[in-house]
Amino acid sequence: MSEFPPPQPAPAAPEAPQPAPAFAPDAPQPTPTFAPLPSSVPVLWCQNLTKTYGSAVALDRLTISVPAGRIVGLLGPNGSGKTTLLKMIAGVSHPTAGEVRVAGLPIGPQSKALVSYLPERPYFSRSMRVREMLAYFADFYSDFDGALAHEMLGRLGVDPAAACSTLSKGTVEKVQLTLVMARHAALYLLDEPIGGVDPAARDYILSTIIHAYRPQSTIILSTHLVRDVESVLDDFILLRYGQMLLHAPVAYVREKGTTLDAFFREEFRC
Amino acid sequence: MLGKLMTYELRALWKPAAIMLAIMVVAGIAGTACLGATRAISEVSWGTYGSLAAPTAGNATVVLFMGALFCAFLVWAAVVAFYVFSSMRFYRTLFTDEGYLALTLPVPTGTLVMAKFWVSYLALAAFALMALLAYTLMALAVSGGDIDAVTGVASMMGGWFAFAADGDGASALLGYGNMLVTCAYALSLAYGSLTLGAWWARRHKVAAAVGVYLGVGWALSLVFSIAGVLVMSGDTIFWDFALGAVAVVQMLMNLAVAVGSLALSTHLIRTKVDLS
Repeated sequence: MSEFPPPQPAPAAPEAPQPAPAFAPDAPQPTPTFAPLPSSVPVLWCQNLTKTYGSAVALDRLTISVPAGRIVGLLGPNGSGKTTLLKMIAGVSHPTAGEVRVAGLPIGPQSKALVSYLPERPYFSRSMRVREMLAYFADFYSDFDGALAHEMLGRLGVDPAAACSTLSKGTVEKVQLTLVMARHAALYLLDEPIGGVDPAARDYILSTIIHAYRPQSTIILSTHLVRDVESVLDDFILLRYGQMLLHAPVAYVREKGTTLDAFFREEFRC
Repeated sequence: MLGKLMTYELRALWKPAAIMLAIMVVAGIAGTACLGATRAISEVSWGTYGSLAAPTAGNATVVLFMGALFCAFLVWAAVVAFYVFSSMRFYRTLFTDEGYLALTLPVPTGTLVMAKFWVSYLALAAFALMALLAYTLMALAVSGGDIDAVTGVASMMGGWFAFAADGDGASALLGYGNMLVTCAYALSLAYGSLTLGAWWARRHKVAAAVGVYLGVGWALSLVFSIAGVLVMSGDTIFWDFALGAVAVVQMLMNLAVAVGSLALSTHLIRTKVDLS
C-alpha cells in the first residue's frame, strides 16, 4: 500500500492562479455536517487506479488529487472511463489495482457518508413515492437537508405524494438530483447530469447544482457536453482511453485565448 | 442502521407476504374442509355400500380429495413463491440499478446483507410454520382428529430424523428445528448463488445463479441421500443411531452452508461485484 497523502496532483497541471469558485450561492449556507478537511488532505485522491474488464482497460494507472472546494469537470469522450472512475469513488465498483481515498479514507461506510453520488441511471424502485425517497435519505444520511429538498422539489413542481412510476424519466432524474444535492456532502459525484435532457432541463439542473453548491464542498461533474458546463467549472480533468491527459484549472485554457469547449474539441477531434 | 434497513425491508416485503399468507390461509381452510368432507362422505358411503348412493359418493370423494391435493399444493406454492420473491428482491436491490442506492449507503456491507437475510428468513420461517399448521389441520381432518397426526406431520419435516425417530414429541421438535435450519440454508444459498452469478457471469447472471444453486443443492442432497440409503441397507440394529447421526450431520452442514453463503455474499459484494 502506498503512502498517504500522495505527492502533488495532476502531472500535467500547469502552474496557474487558482480562481475562486465560479459561483457562490446567494443565500447563507448551512454549516457543513462534515468536519472541514485540513488543506493538506485532498478530498479525492487516486493513485495508479486501474480497472480492467477482461482484456479491456477502462482506467489505466490514473493518479489524481482534487482539493476541497472545487467544481471539477470530468471530461472525455464516450468510453474514456469517466463513469468507471466515479463508480469506484462511490464504492459500487472495485479497482483492479491502485488505490482511491476520499478525504483520506479508504472506500467504505465512512467515505460513503461524505460522498453524494448521482449515477447516470434511475435507481429508485418505481413503486416508491417521492416522500418515501426523502424519508429514505433522511434516515440514512445525517447530512441530508429535508427542508432544502422540499424547497427544491417545490421549485420543480413535484408533488411529494407522487409515485415514481407516474413521473417522467426526466422528472425522476431531477428528483434524484434534488436528493443528491440536498445533502451537505464533502464530495458530490454527478455522472452525466445533463446528458439526454432538453436544453431547458439542462438549465434547471445546472442552476440546481449552483444553488446547492457550498464553498467547502467539491463537485466532480462528468459530461461530454462541455459548452454547457464550462461556465461553472473551476478545474477540469481530461480522460482518454482510461488515461488522464490533463488536470488543470479552466483558467489555463482561457489564458491560451480559447474556451474549454474549443480545447476539448481540438483534443478529441476524430 | 440494521434496524432501519430491516424496517425498509419489511415495508417492501409485507404486501407480497400478506398476499401469499392470504392464499395459504384460504387454501389451508379449503383443503381441511375438503378432507373433512371426504372423510364424512366415506363414512356415509361405507354405511350405504352397495346402495345406489355409493357411486355418487365415490365421485364426490375423488373430487374433494383432488381439491384437497390442489389446496395442499397451493400452500406449498405460496411458500416457494415468497422464497423466490425475497431472493429476487435481494438480487434486484443489490445487483441491478437499485444497487446504486443500496451500495452507496454509509452502511457496512455485512449489515446490508444481514438486514435482508433476517427479514426474509423470519418471514420465510413463519410461512413454513404456517404451511406446517395447514398440513397438520388437513392431517387431523383426514384422520378424524387423531392427535398423532400433529407429531406425524411435524416429524416428516425432519429429513432422516423422520426415519430415525418414532414420530413422538421429540421427533416433532426435531422436525420443526430441521425446517427452520432448512429455511436458513435455502435462503442463504440463494443469496450466495445470486452473488456468485452477479460477480462471475457476464450475461444471464440469474440463470448462472440458478445453475450454482441447483448444482450445490443437488450435490449436498445427493451426498446425504446416499448416506441415508447406505445406512438403511445395513444392519437394522443401528438404524436409529446411524440415521440420527446422518440427520445431525446434514443439519450441521446446512447451517455451515448458510453461514458460509452469507459470508461469501458479503465478501464478494464488498470487494468484487461491480454494478454495470
